[in-house]
Amino acid sequence: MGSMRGKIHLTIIFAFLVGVLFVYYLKETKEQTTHRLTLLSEITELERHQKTLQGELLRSGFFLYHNYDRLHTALGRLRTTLENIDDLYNRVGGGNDTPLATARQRYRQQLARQERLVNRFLTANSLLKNSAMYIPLLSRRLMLHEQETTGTYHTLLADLTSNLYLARNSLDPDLLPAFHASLAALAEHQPPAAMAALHQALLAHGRVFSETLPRYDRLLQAGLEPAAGRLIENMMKALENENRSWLGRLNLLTYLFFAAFLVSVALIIVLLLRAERENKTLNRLSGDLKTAATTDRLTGLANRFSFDSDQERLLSPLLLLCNIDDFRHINDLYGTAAGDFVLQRIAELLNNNLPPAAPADSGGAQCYRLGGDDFGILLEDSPETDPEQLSRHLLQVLDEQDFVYHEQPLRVSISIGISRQRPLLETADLALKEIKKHYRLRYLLYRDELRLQERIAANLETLQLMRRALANDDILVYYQPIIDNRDGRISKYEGLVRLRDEDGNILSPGRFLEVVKESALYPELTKRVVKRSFADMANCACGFSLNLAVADILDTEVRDYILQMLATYPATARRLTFEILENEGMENVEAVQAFIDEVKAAGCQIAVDDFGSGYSNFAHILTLKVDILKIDATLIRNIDDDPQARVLVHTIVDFCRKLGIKTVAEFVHSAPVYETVKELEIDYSQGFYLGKPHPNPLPDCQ
Amino acid sequence: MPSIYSFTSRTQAKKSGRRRLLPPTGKNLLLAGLLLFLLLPTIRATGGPELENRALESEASEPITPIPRSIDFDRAKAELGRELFHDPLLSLDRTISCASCHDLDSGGHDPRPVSLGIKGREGSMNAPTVFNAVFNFRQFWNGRAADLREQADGPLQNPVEMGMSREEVEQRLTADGDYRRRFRAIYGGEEVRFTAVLDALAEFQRALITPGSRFDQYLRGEITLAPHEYQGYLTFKELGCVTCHNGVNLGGNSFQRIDIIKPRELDHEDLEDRYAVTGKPTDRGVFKVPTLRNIVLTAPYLHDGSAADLEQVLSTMARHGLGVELKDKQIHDLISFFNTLTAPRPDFLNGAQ
Repeated sequence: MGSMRGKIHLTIIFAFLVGVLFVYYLKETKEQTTHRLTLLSEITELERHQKTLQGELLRSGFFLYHNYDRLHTALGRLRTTLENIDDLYNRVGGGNDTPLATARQRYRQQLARQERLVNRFLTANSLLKNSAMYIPLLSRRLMLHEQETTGTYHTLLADLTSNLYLARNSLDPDLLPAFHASLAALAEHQPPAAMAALHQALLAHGRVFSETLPRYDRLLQAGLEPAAGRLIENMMKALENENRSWLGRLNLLTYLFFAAFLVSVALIIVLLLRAERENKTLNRLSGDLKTAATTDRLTGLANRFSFDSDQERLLSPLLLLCNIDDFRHINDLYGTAAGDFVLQRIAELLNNNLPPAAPADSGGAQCYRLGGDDFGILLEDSPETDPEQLSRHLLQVLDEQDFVYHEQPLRVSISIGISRQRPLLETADLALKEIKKHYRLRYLLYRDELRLQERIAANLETLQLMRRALANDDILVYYQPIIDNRDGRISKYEGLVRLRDEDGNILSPGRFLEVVKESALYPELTKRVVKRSFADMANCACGFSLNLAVADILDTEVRDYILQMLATYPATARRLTFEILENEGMENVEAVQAFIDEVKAAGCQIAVDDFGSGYSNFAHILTLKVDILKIDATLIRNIDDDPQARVLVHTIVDFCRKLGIKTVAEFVHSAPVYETVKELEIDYSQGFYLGKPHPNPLPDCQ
Repeated sequence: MPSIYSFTSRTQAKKSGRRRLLPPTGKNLLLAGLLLFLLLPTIRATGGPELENRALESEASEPITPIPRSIDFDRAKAELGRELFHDPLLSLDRTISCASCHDLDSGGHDPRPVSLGIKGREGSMNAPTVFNAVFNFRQFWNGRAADLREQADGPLQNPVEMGMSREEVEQRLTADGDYRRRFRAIYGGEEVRFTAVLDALAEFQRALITPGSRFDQYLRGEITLAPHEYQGYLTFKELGCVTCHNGVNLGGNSFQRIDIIKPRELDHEDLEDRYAVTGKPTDRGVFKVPTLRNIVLTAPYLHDGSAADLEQVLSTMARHGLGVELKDKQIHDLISFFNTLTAPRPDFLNGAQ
């Protein structure tokens, strides 16, 4: 693997280098080509300016009036072009000892020579032209000046002019001697004094002409000689040779680049093939790794890791978090091997009893091992899904199983926290914690009310309220009349606990009882209610009832207090009925039975409260020797137009009558209900229609 | 004489000719447009060559060319050069500046026959004008400097002129905070370099061109010359002056001797003539032909300032260079012609300092 990566790096570096070199090569080639082409055109320019210079040289000789600037301009252009050539040649990297450099150097010297030559030529040119112009002019003036000049003088002047033109126009120094002769003859001649100045001027011009002409001729010939042109030609040839060899090098480089390109491609192909092969191996390995990473080794279930990713994919996930009760106990008692055995069995059982996939759901339910003894069943929620039903099913399956490890039967049970709300694990765990707090609760659906923090805060507040009420004697008892259905008169009262807060508001038990029941304040609350009602009822001859929880009965302190009160106020005790919740923990039937026996002995009566609300058990009624049965609000509330409820109530009433048990209808909230209740021959009625709870009962019912 | 008339009437003839070619104030514009479209090739055929002829005559076939209306130069450098040009800081005893001997308020030359340097030291030559000096093929009377930059080096280091050394120039300008900052802004570097000083001075003088003389306007075909001015120009050509005084500067493009026919006595033995450069005996008394631009403004004349006025210099030139005496009319005409060579001050000098 390492060497592979090294090779890839090497190839990349190689390809990169080739790329960089290629870009450089392209740039260089482009520049070189441009410069070489420009160089070629500049040399052509040089040739053109050289010709212009020679042309101007000829023109300045030919025309009498010539603009000498034109020669200097041509020279200037030659200088500039030569500088451009130097610059360009340096840019194409030409050396100083190449044929082109040598030719250039020689041309530069030639140019300096030409410049000197032009300057001297212009001097000579002006002299020659002016003298050539002045000799005939002065001759004419001399001829016109004095009529008395001799014919000989005229002839001499004419000779001079004629020889001047011959020499001037032929530019042949060989013809100068004739001019010299004429000049000498003229110099011999002595003109009249008046003409002496003109004569001398003429002779001077003649001398200037004869002195200048050879020099002029030499300079003109030198200026027109093709040496400069030849040098330029040499430069051109040298450049062509250089360009040819440069092109050769360029071709070689192109081949080299092509070869490097091919090598790169070949390397990449080899590496790709090898990578393909290694890829296959890697895919296989990564598949194995993935399985290992997402599966729990002990149980073979998917693990927490895959749970996390799976749950994200679900739109409305539903989690059943199953925790083995007292798993630590199993580990401690029978060893971790037994623990593992239990985990494996449970995993197997859960996995084999997954809920069927909902119709719209593609994935179906999946079982995970989420932690030590935590299992999760994750599925897509749907309206048809009943998680509590699922939980009950799972619990039942597990309950039916025997866990036998090395012939040792183990007691194994689980609790199920259910949640639909993200974060799933946390909320389901909250539900689980709630379950562990409640005896007999085995599954619970997480609701927002379970939110621990808020609940704790609210609970603390409630308990504080209660503590204060206890301290300030703000625990009140309100009394709701119970009507005798035969005559509609108040038969007795049900005492109902109330709490008065700091602001004097009266709070119903729904607001605080559940919380207080779980706390250490509860026994005190019960005692206060008993005490209060005893005090209130001292001034009232009516019967009254008090609600007792099984927990009150099981609490010895409370029980003793009640018994003591009964003993202290025997008259009041005889008017007292204890209402016990029908569905509340009848596990300790013996203790409850004993209490009932004792209070009955004191003259109290026993009522079963909320009968028909849960798993109504007629057997209990019999066992507990109940005197009164209070039919639950759920049955009474709609009894006026619910035939089924009527049948049920009728049955209950019938049953009670046969056993001599009085019946009370709770929640009589309207006239039709009251009428129906009376029709069904229930003995007593109670409800807002007949009378609301009130702090002061009537002194006497009868 | 007839040549004058033929020339002056030419432009008028051409104008009327063109007017005739234009369509009369036609009622039908479309017809006029069509006519114009049809006639367009004819206009080109008839009007074209005539225009070209004139352009050829005035620009190409004349041995004298007009000064370009403008020249490229670096304004910042030229402004710096202007300041240096006027600053006596550049002379050893801080008494003279370039402007001391090149009076930019008149002809850019020195009105004294020979210039005076530091401590009143007398030079040997008349300081030529700096106006249009950029068009000279070489600089100095004897052409020893190839261009203005080389030229500026001369007076600065000449002991009888400004008497400075490179180091002194650099030191003085570097010590001056304002100069140091301006040089740094243009040329970079913490210290002022001598080459930069020469460059700035050269750039300033490059800006000193004087287009807009009447003769240039004539050459461009914009105006006609008065008869005596035109006659002066003809005389200038007929006498052979133009043989040497040609080109854009009417001179400044060749080396010549003025006393080739009748030798003059040389004022000084240590004359800065061409011989001082080449060492060739034939170059004795040879000087660069001076420009005749603004010649009326730049008295005195000749390399030694020996000719106080134009009449004097014209007689000298005619007598010693051509071997003739000029008639008064010729001198009068020539001076009329010379007057057309006078141009307004260079634009750059009129700009804000």
